[in-house]
Amino acid sequence: MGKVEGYFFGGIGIFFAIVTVVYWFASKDPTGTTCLALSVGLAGLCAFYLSFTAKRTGPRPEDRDDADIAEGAGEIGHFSPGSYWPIAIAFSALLVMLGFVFGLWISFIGGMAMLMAISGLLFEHYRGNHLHTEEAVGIDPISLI
Amino acid sequence: MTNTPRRTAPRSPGRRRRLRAARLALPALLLVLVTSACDASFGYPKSITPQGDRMRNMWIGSCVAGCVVGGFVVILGVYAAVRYRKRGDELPAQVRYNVPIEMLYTVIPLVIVGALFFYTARDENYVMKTTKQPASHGVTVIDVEGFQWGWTFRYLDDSAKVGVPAGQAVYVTGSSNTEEPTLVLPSNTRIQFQEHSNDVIHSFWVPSLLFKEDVVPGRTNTWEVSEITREGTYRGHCAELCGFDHARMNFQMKIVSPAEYQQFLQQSKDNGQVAAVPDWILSSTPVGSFS
Amino acid sequence: MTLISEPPAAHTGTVVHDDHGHAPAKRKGPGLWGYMTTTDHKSIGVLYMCTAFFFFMAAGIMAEIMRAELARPEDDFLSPSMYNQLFTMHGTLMMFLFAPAMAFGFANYLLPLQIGAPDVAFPRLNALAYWLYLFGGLMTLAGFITPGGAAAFGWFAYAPLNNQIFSPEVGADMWILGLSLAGLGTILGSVNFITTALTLRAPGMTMFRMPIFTWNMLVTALLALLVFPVLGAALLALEADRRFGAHIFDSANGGAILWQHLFWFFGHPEVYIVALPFFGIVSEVIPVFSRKPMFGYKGLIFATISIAALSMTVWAHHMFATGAVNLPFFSLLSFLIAVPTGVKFFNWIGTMWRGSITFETPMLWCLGFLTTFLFGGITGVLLASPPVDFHVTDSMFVVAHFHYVLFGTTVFGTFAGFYFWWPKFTGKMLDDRLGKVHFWTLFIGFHTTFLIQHWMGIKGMPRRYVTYDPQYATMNTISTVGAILLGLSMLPFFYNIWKTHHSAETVDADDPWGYSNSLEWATSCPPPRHNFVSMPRIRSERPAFDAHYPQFAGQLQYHASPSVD
Repeated sequence: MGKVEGYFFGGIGIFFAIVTVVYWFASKDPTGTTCLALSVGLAGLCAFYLSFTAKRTGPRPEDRDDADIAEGAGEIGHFSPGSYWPIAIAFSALLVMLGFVFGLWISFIGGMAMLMAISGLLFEHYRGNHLHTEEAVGIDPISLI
Repeated sequence: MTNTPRRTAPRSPGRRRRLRAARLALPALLLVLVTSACDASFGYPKSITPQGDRMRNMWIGSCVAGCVVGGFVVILGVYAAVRYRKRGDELPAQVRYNVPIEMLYTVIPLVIVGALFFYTARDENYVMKTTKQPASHGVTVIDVEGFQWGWTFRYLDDSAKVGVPAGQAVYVTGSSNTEEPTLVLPSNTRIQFQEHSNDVIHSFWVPSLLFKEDVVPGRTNTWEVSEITREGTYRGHCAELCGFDHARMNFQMKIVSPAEYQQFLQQSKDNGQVAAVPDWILSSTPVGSFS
Repeated sequence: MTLISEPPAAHTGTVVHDDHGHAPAKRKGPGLWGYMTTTDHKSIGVLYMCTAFFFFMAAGIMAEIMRAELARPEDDFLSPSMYNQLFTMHGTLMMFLFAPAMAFGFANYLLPLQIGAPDVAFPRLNALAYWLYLFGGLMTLAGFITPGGAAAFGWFAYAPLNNQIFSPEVGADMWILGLSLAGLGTILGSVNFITTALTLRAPGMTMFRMPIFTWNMLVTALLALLVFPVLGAALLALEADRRFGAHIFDSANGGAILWQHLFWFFGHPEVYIVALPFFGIVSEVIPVFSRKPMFGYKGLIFATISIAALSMTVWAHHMFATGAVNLPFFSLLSFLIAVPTGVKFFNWIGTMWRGSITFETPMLWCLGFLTTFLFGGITGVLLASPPVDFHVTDSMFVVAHFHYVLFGTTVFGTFAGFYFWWPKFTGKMLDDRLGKVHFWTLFIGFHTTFLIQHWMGIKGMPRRYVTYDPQYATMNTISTVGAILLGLSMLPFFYNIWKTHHSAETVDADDPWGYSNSLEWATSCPPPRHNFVSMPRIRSERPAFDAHYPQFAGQLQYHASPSVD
């Protein structure tokens, strides 16, 4: 992890921190000040995590100007080939929302369905037929120029 | 993996001419805009108050600045598009940056907006100034109530001058669906508007004042004009979406001499156009401009 | 990227892989089930783009209906209630369901390709984000088929007009909850893009070698993460008021202004969320057709970050007329945000300067964008001044301003992106002549519609009015004529798609335009399942150009120098 990522979020966070203070004294408006303060938090959280990781792990091939494609050879990760759980989760969420409008019993059904669909998503590649069906994708050294 | 770039067909003279015409259309458009905008100050209505004068000058100045900057950028862009059209297959010098130029086109816009902000701050302070105790300073106070879907204007302190008892006021009410209310006001007098709503947000806009202020339930917005110099009848609109008949909440603002204004108040009282001022209006606290 | 290990139960749809991972010349699409279960960022990108275009057409039809009513001052055929629903849903569809979704569509397809990644970091989350968007969007739109009609309180839904007393219809609740769902999709999608850009770049692809479009998407995603939760909270609080008897937005408690602060804290960054991706698209296209690198790459990135940061601090310039906000604070910052936007303009012109420019359709769209956005940006600077804003806010002037900036950016940018990347997405080129007909009809139609609206507003015509005073009649008729032309301009585009689908040749080259820069142009048209079979070395922000023109690779030029053969 490079340092730029941390600076990107950190710089924005510092800017928001300054603006939050200026805005409070200029307006005494609690709404805007709260929103800005929370933004400092989000930016700061990301900046802290990224800087911390950068220091701990050091530069990767994508952080170095002189890296070759071959340095990334091997598995990048496991990528799902396809899944019906995302649409199931989304549809369940829709039922939850529709229930607030048309009757809370629909939300209840949707809530149950959502829990099942989320479990399905989480355990998809660890159980039954779909065990290990994620494709391992990466740079095949033979195919490099 | 290399590939041969697609060759673009050589342009026929007719096509080149049409392209050039199209490119010149852009500055021509700008010219048309500018000349047509040189009527009555880039389209703004005539101003009838000193506050309006300030805002109108701000508009004119900003438009001039906008035309200058915009015209410059258009000329730059059109020139680049015409002058640097592809001639032959040589690739141009692959220039990536030029720090002095980049600094120039950062700093100059900063200066321009700085100047615009200076005049803005000065004028908005002037426009939003209100009088703390208007009645004791001879300021005419008008209560503007917006409702779904019409207006009620109440002549707060001036009603007392024609003998209306305390807690009551001369009023005018109506909407475009019934009869549009006419807000009669004296010329050459400082007038304070206090705005109230008991339902949703409306906005009191008289284009000739070059000003509008939202009528917000839960707040009493207050603003003033130091004087209205020109007699006449001016149109007013509701300018914040307020539901079904938002487009039919129009009104008139009629400026008359102070003597005629007194007559109007007297006649209204004689005709019985008097009613109690609602408690929720009487007990509200006027809020001046934020800054 | 190639499949290193084939899973035991192959589950890859109907696409046939040969040994080299190239897709064969004619392949079947994923099909209905394939699209419902896809986790391929390219298919999801296509889904986003098609769905977004559907919402664009729906909102466009609503606009045509409104302009038909407005052609003459009398009440013709629309009741005020219907008119209010139309402009509410027109704005909602365009701002929530077309523009950000189209941007996400391009981002989904291109971001992994541009950084040399095989997919996004969380492919199933990516799919989830799309389906939440689709279902949420349909729920919002479905307000039209309820008895009380769709939401009718304007796309910014001011309180207390938005409460159960003044907007009792069920369509309003569907609007609120549908947008909450779609907003959740945007948040999840943003998480995906940020993670992908930070963790899945190819070796040598440092942060400052990422293409401008990728940078802009990274910044957009951050903005979305910062502000969509605020919108979500405000929407759910509103629904609590409406359904469960809460009093959060009661007028007596200052609820009217509270809603505006919360909404605009989201709402202003939202317009930059929809603008920045398309700035990114334009930044990809102009260098290709100028045959020069993007001018001032680092300055452009810093300008983009400045725009995003400043955009979070200017929200109350939408509230100047409420009397409830600090005018100088917001006015100053609104003026300031014009500076980095201007910098970007000079970067784009600087790219064209001393270039070798051709005017294929994608470049025309970029020039159209530059013209339109320049005008809209300048009226924006005018609006940043409260003394001016007091007269023109909530009038047709503001309507003209935001259509210039939003349409100029999102629609011109969308079509620039379509014509440019069509061969990459589909393997076929769109017809250039038809594209030019499309461009010119749209350009003329757009300006005829909206230029005169500036005048209407200055002269005193408010916005959201179904009927108006007679002195605005001629201006409105002209505007409607423009709108008709604008609508008709879609026809050459549809014909173009249909015609080239059947009769155009398949593109063989990786880069049919010849001078493209970023990594997606170093793989086939369209790319294989996991994007790259082989990848060129990355030594600059233009790896495909460097690979195709090795004689220029790495040459840093400051001043003009003798050209290289």
